[in-house]
Amino acid sequence: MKLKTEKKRQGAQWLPLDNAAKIYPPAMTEGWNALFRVSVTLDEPIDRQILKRALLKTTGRFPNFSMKLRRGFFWYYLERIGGAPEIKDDVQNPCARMMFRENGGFAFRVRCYNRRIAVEIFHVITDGGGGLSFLKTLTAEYLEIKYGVRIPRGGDILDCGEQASAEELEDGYVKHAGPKAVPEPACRAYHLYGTPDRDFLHVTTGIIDAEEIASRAKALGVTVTEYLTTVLLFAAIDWKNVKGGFLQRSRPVKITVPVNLRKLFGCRTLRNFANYANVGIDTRLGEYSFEEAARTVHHQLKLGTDPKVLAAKVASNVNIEKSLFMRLVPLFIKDPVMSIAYRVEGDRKSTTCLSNLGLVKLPEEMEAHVERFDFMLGSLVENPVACACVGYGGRIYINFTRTIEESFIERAFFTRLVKMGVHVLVESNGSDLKKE
Amino acid sequence: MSYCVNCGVELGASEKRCPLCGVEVINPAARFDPEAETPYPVKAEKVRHREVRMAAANVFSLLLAIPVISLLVVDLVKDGRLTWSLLPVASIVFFFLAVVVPCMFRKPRVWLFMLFAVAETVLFLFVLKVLLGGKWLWLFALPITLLSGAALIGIWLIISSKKASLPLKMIVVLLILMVFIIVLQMLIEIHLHGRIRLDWSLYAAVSCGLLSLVVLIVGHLYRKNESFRKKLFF
Repeated sequence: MKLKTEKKRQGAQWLPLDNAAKIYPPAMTEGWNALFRVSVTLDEPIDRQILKRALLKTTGRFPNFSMKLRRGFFWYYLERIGGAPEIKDDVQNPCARMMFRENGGFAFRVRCYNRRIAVEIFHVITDGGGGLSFLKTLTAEYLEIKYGVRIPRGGDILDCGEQASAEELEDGYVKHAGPKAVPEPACRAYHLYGTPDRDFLHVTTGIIDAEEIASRAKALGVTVTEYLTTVLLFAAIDWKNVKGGFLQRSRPVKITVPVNLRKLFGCRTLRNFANYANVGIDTRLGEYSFEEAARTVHHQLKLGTDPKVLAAKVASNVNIEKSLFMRLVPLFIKDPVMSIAYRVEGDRKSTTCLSNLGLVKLPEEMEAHVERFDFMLGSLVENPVACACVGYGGRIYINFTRTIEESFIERAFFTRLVKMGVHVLVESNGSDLKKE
Repeated sequence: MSYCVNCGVELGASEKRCPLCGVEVINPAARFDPEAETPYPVKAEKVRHREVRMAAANVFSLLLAIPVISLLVVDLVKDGRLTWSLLPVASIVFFFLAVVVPCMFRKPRVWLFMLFAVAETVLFLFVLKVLLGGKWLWLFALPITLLSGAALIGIWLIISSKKASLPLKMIVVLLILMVFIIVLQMLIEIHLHGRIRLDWSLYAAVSCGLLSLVVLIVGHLYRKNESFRKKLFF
């Protein structure tokens, strides 16, 4: 039986959406879908012909990427279309709404600019971990074709000569859901607001020294993610103190920190398999020093990322999906209900988000040609500011993306780092050029 | 290598202004180089909302056109002229103008559409008057429509105001409602009895007035009095 399932998955012609992906198709609108972007900058301009060949090989290895989103009677699903999307020029506003029809039906697109290869992915396919694995494999293929070197495969750089295993295409949520479902308690968080500019994603990148931040975090007994989350928490509190919001005064400031479940549960899936922990401070309790806040964040994250707690949270989502009622209601009824539910509940519990992909490690053969990695989140459904970071080559690249005109949060974030003595190099996608 | 004098961060070579605070980079030692490689291209991708909205609006317009044409044709064929069909057709056109047209705009100016809605309601009432006759338009329906439109626009403008505080918004809304209710009863009385006699509107208006007074006092105390703030903390 197991063998039969494996054979079926390897040559999968269609796949049901995983538990986390199910919400994204109903939630997408004419101007928005949940995208994120991972990119790599090499040491010389990209050869598009070679990239095209590398992309074709890579999508063959990642079957969930060579699929098209389709509507079924009860659920959306992914249907195999094969091939690879056309490589597009990069644009000033990354993660703009993806029109699948213009993209050959694919739910991801590859963009190219000078020395950079960027992959923008709709969340139905995979999460940041899967996206990074795809980009690293694509880069390895590209470098292999271009320089004729053999790049050792292993970890999340996959061998394109092999076929995807059943484990790589499984729905990790269903497999690793805990025995008891415990949903996260609903507590509405403070929400950032500003002058909306939903059609243009403002990107501000801050580049900091990884060693410097790591040593500062270590001195406080916290991790780099916890340290950066604390800085972001203070930026959001600064915003709350300045902008206020009469009805929101009593709400706590909360940061959503996505957690990669693959390592925690020993799972190798290439599809979505992440959950999150919400950490925050109730500002009504008094003024926190940075050390106190860092300690609070540390303990909250430790509790929030406990495998048992996460498995219970996953189980509550899986139970909803597996309930007979949800399964039997036709999609045309579920669609608007899920859309409204996502809009109401999606970002309700968080003020903003900090997604850290961690430190990217590459084989020596690749390191010689790779200068930089970037990771950014497209606009969220309600929260206007999101933060994503990735470390590579001794640096951490922190990307703030926002759909409001005010750059208050990133300014508060980076100036706080500067005040603490951290050197920050800032770049942007030139939104001032857009205004001129 | 330039730094923002305001934020203290180093700025990328292609940054003409600090992306964090907007302050222009002025560094005589390293002037801004417009030819420097930018992290992103200058060309932005257009997000096409309007096409989808317009397409949906067109489909909806077509769907509305079917009953309009059917009604007109049936009326013409049956009676040889347009009579009863004008009433449902006018209603459908009114619905189209009030619902479908605003949906074609991505960022509609609400007060402008309210103004538009008042104008089209007046037009619709005029058509009804022509079709049905009667003396209800000029002294009754028209003033009530204009009054309701003015009240709604006033309420919308004060609610959407960024400068006004919440208590001020509540007070102004209550005062608008107070005036609206009194004038409404005056119009009804003039139309029905030919004289002005206020009764039920006074109760409602006094309630609104008292409520606005309460909001005024509470708002003032909330700002000035710490113990009051403590009591009402939420």
